[in-house]
Amino acid sequence: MRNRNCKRQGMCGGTLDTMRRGQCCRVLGIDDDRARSQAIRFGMGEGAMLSCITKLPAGPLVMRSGRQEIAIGRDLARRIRVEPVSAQVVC
Amino acid sequence: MATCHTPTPSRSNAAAPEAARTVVLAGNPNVGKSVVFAALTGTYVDVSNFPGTTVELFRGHRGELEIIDTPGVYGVGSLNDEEAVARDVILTADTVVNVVDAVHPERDLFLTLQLIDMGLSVIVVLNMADEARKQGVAIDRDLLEDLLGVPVVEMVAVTGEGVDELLRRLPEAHPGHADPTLDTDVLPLAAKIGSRAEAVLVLEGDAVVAERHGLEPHTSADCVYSARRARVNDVVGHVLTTTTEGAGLGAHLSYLMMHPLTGLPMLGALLWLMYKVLGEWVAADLVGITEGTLMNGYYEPFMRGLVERVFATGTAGYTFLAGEFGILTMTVTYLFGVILPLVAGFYLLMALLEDSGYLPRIAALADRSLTSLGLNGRAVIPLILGLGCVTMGTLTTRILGSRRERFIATTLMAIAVPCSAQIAVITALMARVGGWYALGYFVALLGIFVLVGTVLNKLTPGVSTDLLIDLPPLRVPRIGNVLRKSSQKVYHFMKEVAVFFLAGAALISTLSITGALAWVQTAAEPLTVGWLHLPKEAATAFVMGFVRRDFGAAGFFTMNLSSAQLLVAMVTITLFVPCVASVMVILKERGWKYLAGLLITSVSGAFLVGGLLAQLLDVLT
Repeated sequence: MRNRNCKRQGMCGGTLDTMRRGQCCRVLGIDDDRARSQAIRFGMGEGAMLSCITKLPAGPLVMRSGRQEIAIGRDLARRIRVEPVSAQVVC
Repeated sequence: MATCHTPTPSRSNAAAPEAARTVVLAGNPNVGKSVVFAALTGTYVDVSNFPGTTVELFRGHRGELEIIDTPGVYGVGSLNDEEAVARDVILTADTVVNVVDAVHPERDLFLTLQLIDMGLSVIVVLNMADEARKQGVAIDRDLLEDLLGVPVVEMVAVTGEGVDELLRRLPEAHPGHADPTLDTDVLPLAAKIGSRAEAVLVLEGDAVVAERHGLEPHTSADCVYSARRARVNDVVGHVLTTTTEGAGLGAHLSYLMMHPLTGLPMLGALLWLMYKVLGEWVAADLVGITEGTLMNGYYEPFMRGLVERVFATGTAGYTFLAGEFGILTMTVTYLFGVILPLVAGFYLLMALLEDSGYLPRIAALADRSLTSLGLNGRAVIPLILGLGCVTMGTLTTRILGSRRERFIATTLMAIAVPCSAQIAVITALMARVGGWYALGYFVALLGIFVLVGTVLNKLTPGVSTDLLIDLPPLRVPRIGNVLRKSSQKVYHFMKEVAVFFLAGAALISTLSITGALAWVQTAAEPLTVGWLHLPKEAATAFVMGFVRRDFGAAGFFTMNLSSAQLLVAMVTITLFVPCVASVMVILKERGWKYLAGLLITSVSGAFLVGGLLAQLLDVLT
């Protein structure tokens, strides 16, 4: 439901794969059923604040949420919609 | 906060001795669940496969209690085999001991709240309390107990601290504060199917559980999950205080391990080290002692002497029991003289890697390359295991997210990954022929690996899953942990393969007694001599290679081959069918059709590539 609103209002910032090292974002939605269930279990579902620790060349992104670190494949990252958040808020 | 049905916990103490109660351990991966399990049960544990899967279950006893360890999961559901197994075992529990990593409560409490929502009798173990304190993480245990509504025990399982308290408070386990907003949906459903736990799972969209009750899974999973996540964050916000942000040497090293520029050399060094330890120290030096001196020197002559008293040399009975492939001689020698040291060494190294937290970082590093083969980074774990032993690797493909990936990984391993025993024999053979041929062998193999993977990625229907993997903090492996983990796995593995070895040896003996082996040699002559340019005895080596690949490679030892012939022989035998133990495991995991397809492809592929190579080398020399 929230996803649809977000799309309609055009406020989706972008996708996770556009994040750069050191940037922070809030997860808006994950367009992959399996990954969404898994992500919520990890604590990085919709609404979670993530900071980008590393981005491997053409490879996965390493994101931190709390003290938890997660590697996310580049293709999956393209299907995770996020909005950038200023680094001071979360990092 | 009112809960639905809270039995009075203290009364169960006074109850007359009842049938053995089932205590199930549940928790996320790498939270020290198995250490808690070992602390509770002592040394006698029974390892078994969960029916229909290869997920291992550990059972033990403590007094009247039956204690079962489940695979590490982040939640209960049908996301993968492990979750499904954990779910089914948890559903049988009288008491669930939920092991929580005190360092990562925000991740672990998701499962905790799910167990509580399911209305199970839960007791929470906050494990690694010492590590949490070291990292500046403090958890208000009493407040957590109040918020969850279940007992919470602090523990340092590796030292045994807190085990007594857990045992003392185990009877206090009871249902906690479930999400009251779930009740409107759950209560009617629970009344209908007779289990609150299963009702919650149906509500969360667990198709398997829903089908058991003839229901459609609900579609409110996202909603339930999100609400639960919000509650986890709320609970964590109340009970957790952190004093330091842990980002020191570990974080830096972690980065270096994953970045290609630094990570690849580190991975290379690791593989080289593994080869050094397994291929040279274990496979050559140690096995030289166990196989050569102990088994061939003492055991086999002794055994042959015993058999001779019953069967005369040369009779079928003698050949069967104590001949070249005798089940009392060769089989035992191979099992205990060769396989045991290799597998023990390998599992020890793997346990070290696992405990240190390096493996998931290799997965991140390799993700990019494996994507083009239709796999994701997680596949490095079975593939690396496959380098140790293809059978082990095949068993581990269950951690992959889709059937498609399991299919690709199994095929790649069966075709193009030589096992450590084989690498050792091949290295020994290649040492005779000089560097260029040895290099040619590895280049050819790598090329075939990439080629087969790329083709399979193109042809296999379905979609592969993407990498989404938890990176646990790096730490110095704890020896106790490593030894326990590896010895359990070695025991399990040996138990699994012994039967296949006996069957394989019996088969070859039968072939040899009936003269079929000689017939195969003659029948295969056009192939071995004509196409591969090898001597006709090579056929025996291929048949032997079916029993064990390194055994097949070793079969070429005694033939006087030229360098070019050796290269052809080695490439062909590597690509040739996997050993009998792997074949049996593949049959169990993937089924008949797959196995038949694999055998046909690998045999024809092996002879095709080997033959082409032979023709090419002929032209060159």
